[in-house]
Amino acid sequence: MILRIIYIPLIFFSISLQLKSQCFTSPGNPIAGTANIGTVGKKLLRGNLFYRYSFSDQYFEQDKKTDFIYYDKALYNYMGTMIAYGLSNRITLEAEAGYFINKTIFYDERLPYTLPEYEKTGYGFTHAVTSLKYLLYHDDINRLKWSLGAGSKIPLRLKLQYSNGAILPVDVQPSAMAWGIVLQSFLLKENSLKALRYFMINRYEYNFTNNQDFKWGQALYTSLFISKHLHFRYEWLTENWTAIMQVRHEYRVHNLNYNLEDHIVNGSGGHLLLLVPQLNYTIREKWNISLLAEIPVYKYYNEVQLANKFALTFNIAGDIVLNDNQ
Amino acid sequence: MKSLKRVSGLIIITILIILLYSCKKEEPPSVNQPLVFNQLVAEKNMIHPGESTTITATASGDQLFYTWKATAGDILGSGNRVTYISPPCTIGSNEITCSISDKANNSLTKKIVIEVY
Repeated sequence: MILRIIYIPLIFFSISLQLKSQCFTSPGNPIAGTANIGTVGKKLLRGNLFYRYSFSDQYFEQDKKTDFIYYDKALYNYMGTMIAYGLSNRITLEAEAGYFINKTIFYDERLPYTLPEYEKTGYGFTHAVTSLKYLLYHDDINRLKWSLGAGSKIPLRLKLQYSNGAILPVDVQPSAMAWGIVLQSFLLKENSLKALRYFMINRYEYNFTNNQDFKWGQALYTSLFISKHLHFRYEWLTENWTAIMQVRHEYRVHNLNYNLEDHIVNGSGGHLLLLVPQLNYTIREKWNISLLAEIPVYKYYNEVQLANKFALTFNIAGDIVLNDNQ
Repeated sequence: MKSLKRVSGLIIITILIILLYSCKKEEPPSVNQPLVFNQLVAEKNMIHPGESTTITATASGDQLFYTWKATAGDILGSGNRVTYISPPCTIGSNEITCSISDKANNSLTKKIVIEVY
């Protein structure tokens, strides 16, 4: 029996080692998700809306825990959206953007001095990414597809955020305030007989120096996905569910802060390996609801950084076909 | 006779009211106090990474509002006195900028350098 394979939103986020001059990953900025794979069909409009919660409370020095005292914990609540539209069967136009509901750090009360406040919160828009994706190769017999994408990162905020007249720490500034370039590759292999799909997503990011003389390090993300349509004995119960497992590697090079003497932010960048289990429920083959957890399994940070502990994401995705006669 | 008494009573009350108003001091026209930014000083100008220092701005003027900024490190607190903390990786000369504005939107800025070593 050949099982139908329907569109499943693959949630690809970066927990991001994003930091400024603080040596800490802090909660980081999510790079809005590429919640689909490659291109969409002609005149198909695909929308995604997601919510994400992230929590960090442990410092790492390289790949080991350290008792470094500075922040006690850091967290954020984030909303994002992504819209993709098929200009043709080969070319897709995509836009993504995000908003921090809050991005909060809590200073450690064990610091050897008293602070006037122990909590700082920022909020606001992050950035947008607009990109074009091109279906470079497809083999319908072997169910193989390869798409490439290129786009620009557009900061949605160019001014630093203040609270009560004091500039907010860089770790809670909502936006990196930098323009950038994003290159992506999507490889898809399907096995209809087993209702399995395999994906590989690569994403490269280059950021230009922002108006604060800060340059975020280049980043490279590689994600491998395997998705399995849950089609068991109790079909009435499982037919709309899909399980997805993602293994992701993130690599980011050092940031540069031209306000510092040697420019290199030593405590920035590193490697991160994550497991991301995802459960998806499909409604009428048009709408998808997904829940996923991001669990770091290996971390290597340059010098000392506050490492991400986990993140949870809830995503809603839907398709609308825009016909000529509509 | 009765009406004469009433009229004289009214006249006396009117005179009293006039006298009371004439005794009220005139308020001088309000003059804006000029904005003067006297100094910006740090408790310690040289600190190690992870340490903190208090920075105080002294100024005079009307309804002053203080804005603080650092090239690296965190600023905590608000008003004319804040705490600056230097996390690691902020080694070097970190510039703290304080801008003060008054109710007439006049603004003055001073900078101070904290050496993190």
